[in-house]
Amino acid sequence: MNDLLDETASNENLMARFGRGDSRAFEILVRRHQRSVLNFIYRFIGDRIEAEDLAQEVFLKAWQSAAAYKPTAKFTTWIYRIAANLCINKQKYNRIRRLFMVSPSRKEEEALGDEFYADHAGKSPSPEDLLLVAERRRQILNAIQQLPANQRMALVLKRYDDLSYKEISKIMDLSVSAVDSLVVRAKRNLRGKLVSLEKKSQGFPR
Amino acid sequence: MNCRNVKKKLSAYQDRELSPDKQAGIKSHLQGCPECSALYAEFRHTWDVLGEVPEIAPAPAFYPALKRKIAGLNDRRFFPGLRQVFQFLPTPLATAPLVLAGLVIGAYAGNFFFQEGLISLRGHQPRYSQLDVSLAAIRTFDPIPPGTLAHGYVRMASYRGSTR
Repeated sequence: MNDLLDETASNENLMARFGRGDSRAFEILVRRHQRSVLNFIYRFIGDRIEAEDLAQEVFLKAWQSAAAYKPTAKFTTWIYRIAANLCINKQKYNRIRRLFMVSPSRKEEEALGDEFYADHAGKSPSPEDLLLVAERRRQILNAIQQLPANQRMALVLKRYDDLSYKEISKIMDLSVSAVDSLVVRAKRNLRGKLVSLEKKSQGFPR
Repeated sequence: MNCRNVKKKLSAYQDRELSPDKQAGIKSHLQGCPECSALYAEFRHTWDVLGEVPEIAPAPAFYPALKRKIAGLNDRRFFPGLRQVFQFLPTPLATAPLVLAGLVIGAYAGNFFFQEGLISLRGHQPRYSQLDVSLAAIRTFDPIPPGTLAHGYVRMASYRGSTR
């Protein structure tokens, strides 16, 4: 019965319980949000391995900063804000490394291909199709990576997490109109890149 | 609504960020304007293509690995019992005792080094140590009683010869 109550408890309630020393509440929060946090970071950073490490850091920081959490703020806003700050710091660190960017590891390509295989279960895609799909997805991710950090973050939060401009503005500590402007510019910047990508991949399996 | 205004708000329209009236107004405009409609189609296409990037699943060991990292943080503390206290105190309050201890230790250390002459406010001129001060004080002789051995030695030392 207690487990059922735990699973349905609100994020803010769980944080309050964690603040009083209930580590089970923290575990529920992690399991509930690990996927969304991981994917936010992955789409921003563009590297799965780094995203997993960074996602761990997010929850580690959340554990350490539990006392600083104010129940008036939405938990998701708070955790995403931690993730956003870590992503920006990581971005600065990677800026120089990106000059020497190498092609993604085989593991990354296999990961992108695995999702395609799962999507098309039973249709037996050929290895060539898998590679082509993985390559296309990699190119889309690269196009996102080429956006300036602020535009990229606003776009990812809007497109993949479907947050409102108001929620994004709280996470990024910007005004709503600034978020609107960032999303518009991100879309325009991506439009040209993705149109040419689309022309190249005409006829390739999706 | 003219095309210029619609184009400016097309992204927000796509994201459903406008008021219901404005959403309806732009929708109506798009139905009758091929140019704006084509631009909107491009926005939608961009959105669809972005959707091809799939979600990734966290590794099954995500939470166990996190637990190990948290346990590693706990092990580094000298007094595990204080973890609960430091977890709930605001950071400035938790670090204030450390800063205070640092200042006290620094003040004692500075005073020690200063008194021992290891550091000086006057550049390279060392202050005299206690022993030096005592020796210097000895040089300020009190008048030596005449007829004593010391008096004799002093007279010998200050003798300038008989050639004068």
